[in-house]
Amino acid sequence: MNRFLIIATTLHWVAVFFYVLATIINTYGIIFKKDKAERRSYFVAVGGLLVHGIALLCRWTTAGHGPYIVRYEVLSSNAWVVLFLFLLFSRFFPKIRPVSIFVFPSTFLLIALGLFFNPEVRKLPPTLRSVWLVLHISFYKIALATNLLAGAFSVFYIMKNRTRWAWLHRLPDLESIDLLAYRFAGFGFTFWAIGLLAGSIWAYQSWGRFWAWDPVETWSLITWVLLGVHLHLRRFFGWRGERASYFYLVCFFLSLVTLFFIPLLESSIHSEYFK
Amino acid sequence: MYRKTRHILLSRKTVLALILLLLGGVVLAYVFPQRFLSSSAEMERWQRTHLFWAPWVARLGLDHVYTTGWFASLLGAFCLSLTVSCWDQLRLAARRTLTGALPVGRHHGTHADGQAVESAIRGEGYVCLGSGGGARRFVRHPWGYWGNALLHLGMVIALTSSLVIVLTQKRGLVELVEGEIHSPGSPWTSEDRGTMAERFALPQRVRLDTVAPEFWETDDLKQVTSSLSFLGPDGAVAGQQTLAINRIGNLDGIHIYQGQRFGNAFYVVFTDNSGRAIKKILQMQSPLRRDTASYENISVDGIPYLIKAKYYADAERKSMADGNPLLVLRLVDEGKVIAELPLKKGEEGELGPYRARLVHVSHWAELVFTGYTGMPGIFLGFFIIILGGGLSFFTPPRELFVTREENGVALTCRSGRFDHSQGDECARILAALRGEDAL
Repeated sequence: MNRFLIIATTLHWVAVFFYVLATIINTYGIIFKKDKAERRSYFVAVGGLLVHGIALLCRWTTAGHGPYIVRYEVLSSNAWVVLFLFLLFSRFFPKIRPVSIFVFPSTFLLIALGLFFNPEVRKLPPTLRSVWLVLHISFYKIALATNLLAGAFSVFYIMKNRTRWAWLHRLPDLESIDLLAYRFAGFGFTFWAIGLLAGSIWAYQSWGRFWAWDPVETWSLITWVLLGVHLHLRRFFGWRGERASYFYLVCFFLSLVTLFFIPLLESSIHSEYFK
Repeated sequence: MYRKTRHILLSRKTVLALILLLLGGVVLAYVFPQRFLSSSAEMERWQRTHLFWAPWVARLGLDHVYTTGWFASLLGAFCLSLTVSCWDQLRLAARRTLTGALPVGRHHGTHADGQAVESAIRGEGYVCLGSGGGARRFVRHPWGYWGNALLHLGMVIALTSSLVIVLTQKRGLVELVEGEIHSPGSPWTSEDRGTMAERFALPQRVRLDTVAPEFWETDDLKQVTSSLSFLGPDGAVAGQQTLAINRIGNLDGIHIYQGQRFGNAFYVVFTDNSGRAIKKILQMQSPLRRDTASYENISVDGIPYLIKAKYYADAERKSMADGNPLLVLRLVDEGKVIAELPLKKGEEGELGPYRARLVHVSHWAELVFTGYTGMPGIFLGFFIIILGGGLSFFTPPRELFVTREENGVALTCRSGRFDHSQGDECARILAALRGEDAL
């Protein structure tokens, strides 16, 4: 294995260690109301993010392309984007911080899962050398992060509404949780649309088609429309609370299936290089 | 009648039902193989193995969902509903931007110095959008009112444009060997044509001059480049262009794309016992790796056997650069291989009852020609959808009303859609008012 790849893999494991540590400290801080511990967990997570970022850069340098070809690098970069965006959003919306109890473990689970796939470097095929592809992939990663936050708030809403666990009192009130879930779902819908648009421009540039009803395209469209239906129900039908949360969780599950499983199940341009 | 139709079209239940029915259509098109995505052999095989569904497929057009009348009707109804709704949303956005009544019972506090309050509010990014009913209305992110309207407008534009494309599109795919000419009106290897489109013919003759594939050291494809010549009526070269993947050519408004398929073309001459020569160009797709072969089953007119051919990019399996490809021909009679012959360029040998000679090796490539109307509409529509979504969820409008009172001014906030953040802001402004100079 290339020296850079060995360094990248080692750094990935170091990042996993940081993230696991951050998760333990964070969960302890949230459950047992230890503010200091919760605050410190963020420093550990930022440390992990830096190490993880260096690992991705090493891989990028070796492969000569961004982390979007093989599953190992796709999952790892998804984890990085999810954590980075969570930290960024939590600066502007401090109320979302308890979502760290979902985001921190999701990050190390994604990265650890990626480490079990073949880390072999694949060269970039000519159709994938387009700025539109980079935008297409980047916005889907951002959509994944925002959808995860909306999903976490939906779960929080259901938990807080149905249980009396003490640590849930640290969360915002039910109405605020519901509105945060709604707003992040709106962000997810918008970023998913940008991903779709960039993808169709890329396809038009590469194949002379903007849409080919490829299985991943089809399921991506279904997911996007369903996310739109969720927003429509909230906006015009007054859906809120548990009903909206459950419906959103269905959309979130579908988005995960579209992003991670359809490319494995079906043969398509999206799966060609991910299998 | 008009009002009733309008009411039905705008009914929330109608909209939701139409979206779900269209989604159902897309899922059906995913579950049932579609003619435009599958070969006729695949379609026949599916029909043989799914006899129960065959009558339903025929009756409901489940093998061509997107061109059925019922899907077009659903899409048309949805477009109509969306257009009417879009008009309403635009009017609503204009009304909200220009007018806004003072909310009742949400009085948040008073301050003696009206000037100071207004300047503090402006400092927070609020814009005064007018006054009425004794109150001055300040709005932060007033463009947020237009989010929903733009979201709907973008959908109308994108859907209408895609409909125009579906009806008028012309897309022809042709596989040419180096030196081969595609003339106007010649048949395409495959063609997609919209229901309202005329037959797709090129304005000039096009000749494929050269094809140059490049590979990484890992054998992955790096690039395929083709050079084309456009020939005038007298056969003279009127223009030349070089294509590559992601490098598009243009011929009088027709876009030309380098296709994904390419490979070697083997010029083989078969001579039978009577001395009759049969010439055949075997177009075979490039292998994926230097140590793996590409396979093709070929029928040749005048030869009553199936020919199974395979080729390696390099006879010595040392590179993907195809200076010395190896072609292996197998003659198959009723499933049994009766003869096999490996050939390199210029070689010949016995292949069962035939003598075969590999005269020449060149390249072939797939070229895609498209003539679309409405493509900018798709991208513009999506751009407007994104803009609308962004305005709705990133910059929701927030309203503050300042009313004159005996001892100064009163401040009133109106709840926005994402009230939690506005609540914070109102509290901050009110705290600042209480602290006189905090803002």
